[in-house]
Order: sequence, then C-alpha cells, then structure tokens
Amino acid sequence: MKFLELADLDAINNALSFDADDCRIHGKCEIYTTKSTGSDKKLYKAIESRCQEDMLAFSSSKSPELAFSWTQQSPFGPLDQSSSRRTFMYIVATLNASHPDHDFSTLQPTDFYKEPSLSRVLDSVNATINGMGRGRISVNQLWETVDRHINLSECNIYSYTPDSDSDPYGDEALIWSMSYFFFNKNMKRMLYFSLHGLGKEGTYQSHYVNEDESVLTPVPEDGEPSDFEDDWVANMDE
Amino acid sequence: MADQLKSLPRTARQLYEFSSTKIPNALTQQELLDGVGGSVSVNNLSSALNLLLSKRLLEALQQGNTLVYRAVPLEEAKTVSTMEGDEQIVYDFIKNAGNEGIWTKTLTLRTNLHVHVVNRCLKALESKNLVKPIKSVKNPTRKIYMLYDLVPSSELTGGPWFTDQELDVEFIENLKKVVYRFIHAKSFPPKKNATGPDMIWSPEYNGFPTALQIHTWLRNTNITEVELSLGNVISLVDVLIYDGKVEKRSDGVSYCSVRPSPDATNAFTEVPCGTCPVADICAVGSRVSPITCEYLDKWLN
Repeated sequence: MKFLELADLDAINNALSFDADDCRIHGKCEIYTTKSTGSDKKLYKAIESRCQEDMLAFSSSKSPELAFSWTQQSPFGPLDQSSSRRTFMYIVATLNASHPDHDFSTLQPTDFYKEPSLSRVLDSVNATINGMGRGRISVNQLWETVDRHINLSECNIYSYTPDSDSDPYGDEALIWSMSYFFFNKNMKRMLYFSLHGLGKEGTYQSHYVNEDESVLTPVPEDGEPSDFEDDWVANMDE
Repeated sequence: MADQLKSLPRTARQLYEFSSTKIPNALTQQELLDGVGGSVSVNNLSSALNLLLSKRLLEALQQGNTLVYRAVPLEEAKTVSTMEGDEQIVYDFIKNAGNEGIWTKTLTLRTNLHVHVVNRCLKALESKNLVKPIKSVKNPTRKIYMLYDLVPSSELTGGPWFTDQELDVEFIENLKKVVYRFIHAKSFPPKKNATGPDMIWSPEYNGFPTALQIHTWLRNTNITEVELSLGNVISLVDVLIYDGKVEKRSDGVSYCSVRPSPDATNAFTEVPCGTCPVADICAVGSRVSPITCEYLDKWLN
C-alpha cells in the first residue's frame, strides 16, 4: 500500500496527537492507495495460500454448516470470493505499512467488524475527540479534509479492536483504542483512522535504561577503549 | 583461519589468545592486563585493544557501569568484518539479544540508526542467513529477529503448551486427564466397595504423589515425545488444583485428588420462586401465576 503525502491531511495527522487531561492521545489519519509494494505481494501470497488451505480444510470437513459459516460470516463478504479476500489483504497491508515494527499477517478476517453506518462511526469518533480535544481539533475540519481525498459516503468501513497483545501500542501504557478502515473501492484508496489513549505516567524511554550488571550491551564504535568518559556511556540511550 | 592472528603484533595476539579462553565471559581491562603478564605499557595495551576491536576479534561491551571486552571466535570475526559499519551494529545488538531475540522497534531505538537503515541492514543480514525473523506468543504482531542458528527461548514459543503460536488445548486436556488419573489412583486405598474409614488413607499415610514422582512417572510412560520439565508438570497440576480436581496437601509437596462433594441441592433452594423478581404479586388467577410462569416452565424442562 502506498502512503499518500497530502499536506492538509498531514496537518490533521499531527493535530491528532496531544496531551489530554488524564491521558495522552496518539491518533493517526492516513490515506493509502492500493498500489502494492514488493512486501505487499509477499503478504498477499501468504494470506491467499492460507485462505486456500482453510477452504480446502473446510470443504473436506464433515460439517457443511461450518464451511458455510466460515465463508459467509467474514465481515468482508464470502471468503471464497477473491474480492473479499482482497479487501482483507489491503487492510492487513495498511496496518503493516502504518506500523513498520509489526507484522499483522497472522490476523484473521474475523478480527474485524463491518460497521453498518458511517454516521455512527463519525458520531463515536467525534464524541471522543470533542471530549478529549477541547477545541484543539475541529471535527468538521477533520472530516471535510478527509472527504476531499476519499469520498466517505462511498466507503465500506471496518473496525479493529485488538487485545493489548496485538495492539501496536500495547507496550506503551495503553488505556483505550479505536481503529477504523474506510475503503473506497472505486478510488482504490484506504483511510486508516485510529485513536489511542495512552497513560501519562512514565515515558517510553525509561523502559530501556539498563542498570542490570549481569547484562552486557554493545558499545558504539567511536568509543576509545582507554577513555573512561561517562558522558558517552550515559548518552548511549538517548 | 589462523592467518588472522599471524598478522597481529605480539601483545595483540597474546591478548586475543588469553581472552578467547574465557569465552563467553568478558574481561575488564585490568583482567586482560593480568592475563598477559601485566608487563605491558598503557599505550601498548590501548593500541593493541584498538587493533583487535577494528579487526572484530574483540568486542567492547558495557557491564553495568564498566567497560569489558570479549573475544570473538575467528569464524564470526571473519563474517562480521566483511559487513559494513551499520550492519555490524545491527548484528551486534541482535547477537546480544541471544535467544530472546530483539524487536525492530527496540533495535532502532538503541542503535540510534534511521529506521530505513535498520531495515536495509536486516534485509542484508537475512539474505546472508545470519539472522532470522521469529514470532512471539506474547506479542504475535511484533517483528523480532535473532541469530540464525539460535533456538527461540520458551518465552517466545510458549514452551510445550503451544504449537505454531497457538495454545494446544487438546494436548493439555489429555495430559491433565492422565495426570489426574495417576494422582487419583494413589490418593485412595484400592479396596473396592470400601465403606467408612476404609475409603481413605489414615492421616499418617505418606504415599501421596509428589510433583517429582508425577514427573518421573509421566516421563516413563512416554505418553508424549514432548519434553516436559518439572516446572511444566507443576503448572499442569496447578491447573488441576484450580479446576477443583486436586489439592495440595499440607506437607507442601504432595497432591491428593478431591472427592466430588455429594449434591448439596435441596428442592427448596432449587425452585425458581426463591429468586423470582415478581414473587410478591404471584397468585393463581392474576397476571403473574404459577400456571403461566415462564421460569417454572424453563426449570421443569
């Protein structure tokens, strides 16, 4: 998936991360096109082969209801149709593109939920932003800008609520999160919108100070061995 | 391989030879000095150390607040010295993560390299078969890398209870059944149709199974080819305790299976009328009556 560089959306994206009263908000508002990169192609192959395996397993299993429910119950439509599988793959590729330190290829179609109405999603997002944002960000401006680049009314909307193990912010004092994918098939564009509420206490850096004597950590190359200067040692974790 | 050492000046060679006997331990500058006889000048020592570091025969590490050195096996030194600087840095961090592996986010943070540089190095190292990506059961979406030859720790794989990143419920249930039967068999006297005090062992009986006995027995039955440690067996028995099937005896080491208690139910407590929210207005002929009661219908069916 190719990330679209859009100046006005970028401004919105930056405005979505701020300190609220009782938590830090980290938001993302990113639009991608479905143009595939090299790693996307590998991802699609892997997911496609996994789906084929599952389909084979279900079709040869004794229970036709199970097979039927698996194909029908996916939020992306019947999984024996390649267009449904493709939508699912686009979403996984978007997650991978937005969170480069994670690999979401193990996700299942059932980890997502198809939102039935745009207005319900907008209401829920707006309530959260207005509740936390206090005038820091205008929801009207947000959706106006978004709509300019991806026609919201034409989109299928999917939501994702992982447990903290699979959440990309799971290591950062995560309190709540909401993630939506707006897929406009005609425009071949995907909007990834997410808001995460993170705890205020303790910064991310503090996890990585290593005072344990038994652990050996490498030293950067420009340290002279006979210079016992504490400065570059202390600055190592910055 | 020894030609790497042939070109070294004497002090450097001695330092290398001494420190390579101490692998995998690292040594302080003083320990190195003592190891080669202590008669080396500070200048000589530091230039020898620098030479070894540049040839990747020695690596500098931080142990708490002190700087220590560790020799690098010749094979490894050769591979690493052909890498470019950034790749070396990434490789070092991955190597030091051992069999726990290191997350790409941590890697980027600690190497201070740009995320694109880190990714490029990872790709290069992977193509040379020096590192491999692995998955953790605790954080299945994280991209974790470790050295190619290492086996992921049980923290990452979940140990014997996980197969392919998924909890192997069938395996656990089967093991639980088997272990429970073993404990149960040893918890009560074998006399069939025993009654009264013959149904249980006397208080002095000490033949109840301990975790160690269970472990040994389990191993001997060869029920599964998966290696189970004593800790694994204890966890399994703990699950049986939480299920209410087994209890730990007061001596702290042995287990005894729990006799299922006789049904403590009573018609008066079972009837739904006791918890009915509209019991007050219930009467024959009114809107709420026993004849039309849906709670009674449900209970009687």
